[in-house]
Amino acid sequence: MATLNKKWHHGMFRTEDWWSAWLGLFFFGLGLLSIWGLDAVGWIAKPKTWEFTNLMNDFSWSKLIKSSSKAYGHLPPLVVLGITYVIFTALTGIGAYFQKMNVKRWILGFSAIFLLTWMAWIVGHEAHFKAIDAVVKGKNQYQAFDLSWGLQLGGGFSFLLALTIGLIIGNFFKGFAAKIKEAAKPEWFIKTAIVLLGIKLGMMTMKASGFTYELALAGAAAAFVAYLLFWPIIYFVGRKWFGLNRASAAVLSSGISICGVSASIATAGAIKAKPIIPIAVSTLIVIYAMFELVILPPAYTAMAPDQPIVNGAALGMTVKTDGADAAAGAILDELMVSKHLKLTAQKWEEGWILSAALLTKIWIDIFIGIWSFVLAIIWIRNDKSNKNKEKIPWSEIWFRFPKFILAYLLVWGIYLGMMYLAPEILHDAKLGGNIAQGPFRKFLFMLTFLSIGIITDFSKLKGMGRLALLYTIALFGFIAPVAYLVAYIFHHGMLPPILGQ
Amino acid sequence: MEFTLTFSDNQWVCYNAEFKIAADSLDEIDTGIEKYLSTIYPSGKIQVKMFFDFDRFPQWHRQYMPHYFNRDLTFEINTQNDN
Repeated sequence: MATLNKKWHHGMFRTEDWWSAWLGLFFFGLGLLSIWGLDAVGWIAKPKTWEFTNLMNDFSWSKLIKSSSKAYGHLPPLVVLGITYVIFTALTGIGAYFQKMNVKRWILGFSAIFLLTWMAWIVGHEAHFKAIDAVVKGKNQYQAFDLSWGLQLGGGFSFLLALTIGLIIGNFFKGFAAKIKEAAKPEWFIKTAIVLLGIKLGMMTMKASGFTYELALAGAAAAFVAYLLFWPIIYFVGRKWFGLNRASAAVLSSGISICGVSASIATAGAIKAKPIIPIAVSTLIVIYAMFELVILPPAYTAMAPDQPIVNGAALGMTVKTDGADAAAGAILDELMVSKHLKLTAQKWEEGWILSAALLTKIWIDIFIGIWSFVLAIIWIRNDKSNKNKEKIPWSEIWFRFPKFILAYLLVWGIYLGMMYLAPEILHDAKLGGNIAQGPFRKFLFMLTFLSIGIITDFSKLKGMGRLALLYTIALFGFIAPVAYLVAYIFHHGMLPPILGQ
Repeated sequence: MEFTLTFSDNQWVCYNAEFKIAADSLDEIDTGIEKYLSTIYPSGKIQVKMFFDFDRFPQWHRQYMPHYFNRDLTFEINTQNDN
């Protein structure tokens, strides 16, 4: 049975993109039930900060895991974790079924990924890695655990650990990776998390509407830079200096300068390149996204610790694929918040730096359908053999439009609606919303980090010398510095609010 | 008239229940379709839609972009003049 996009609604139940929207909206909806006094999200498990010696002296699961709200606090920690596992496996399994995946392999793969993710998350919360020597909400965890040393990395260590475990599996245990790969879907996990970040954007708008609108609109500038500056220059360099044919140069330019794999497939489809081209380019993009994800957040944190929003927006323009961008944004958020806390004893609110990285990328994503449409028209007009009066269907824009963004904007819009039309319910709405955009979203991020590592196989770089060289030069010699400059122009001086103020 | 388009063994393949053609380029596919249409319709403008079968992409790619391309073509058949 072929998978065809004929009508506008085709794919609503069989693509990961749509399933990100459904799953994200479902969790968001569960969170909203708090308006009516129902806690339908507090069952999700979340890790606690713990200390090794303390745990060994008196082991208890309750030192490691707890439910996200007091309503479920009476449940033993392993029961809470079990509930989380069953609900997530069931919901994603239903999605996998409709997406025509092998459900049995999905359940096995997801179970392994769930287990590894939680191991990384719990280890990452050991106080010597996580606790920061500063007072937050009247508490200094570093001193409370009586630590003599600590890396003071905040939540960022969990992310890096999950990524490292994923990379080790993907590169050294390839047989195991192949068995669980069915469920290693970073884009599905991250897009679902991004839908939930619509809640965060809504809360940000309540807190600082001017700041949020400015952040959102400035992201549009990034789209112009990616499409109208990066793309033509990379295409020119690819054609003139690296001798690439038109199709390869166009597909690679989109992959490097716009939004990674999705852009390269969209562009290849628009110019009707043989599918082998975007498949080869995609492999390269995924591996380079890993380099960007690992190198850029610590580099930006070290270079410009006083420019959090600039750093976030620069990541959004530089790191390709939504998964890697959001993952890089999350690491940057954790590293910068932790560093600022250590240096100044002031805690920036979490999520603002990540939102800066995401809003920039979302603007870029929104235009991919239109860009591909324009490219398709240009390609057809230049094709002298096109005697058959081929027309580009308008529906191509819709089919390439990322649907999870609709859900993200809907969630944001619902919060804006409540803010302006029913402010009296906001307090109750936020009770569930905070859990949906907190523990739910962070768990999905952890799944993303592990999955992204599992699907990144560095050995696939072999034989890609020329393309890899062009990618390296374009990324570090051109895109990263120009992206940073543009981000600086639009965002310099913008800071997240300080917690408790 | 509707066709499914796919890519296999380094060739484009275009087919429906009655007709199937494989070729190295889409131009050759179009030429083949035009010839096929001329065996059915003596003259007139024939609208052809081709839908790419996205199952041809490896599964891990599909999470990034769920669509490749569709084509809308118009063929002007005039076999009477050719005679």
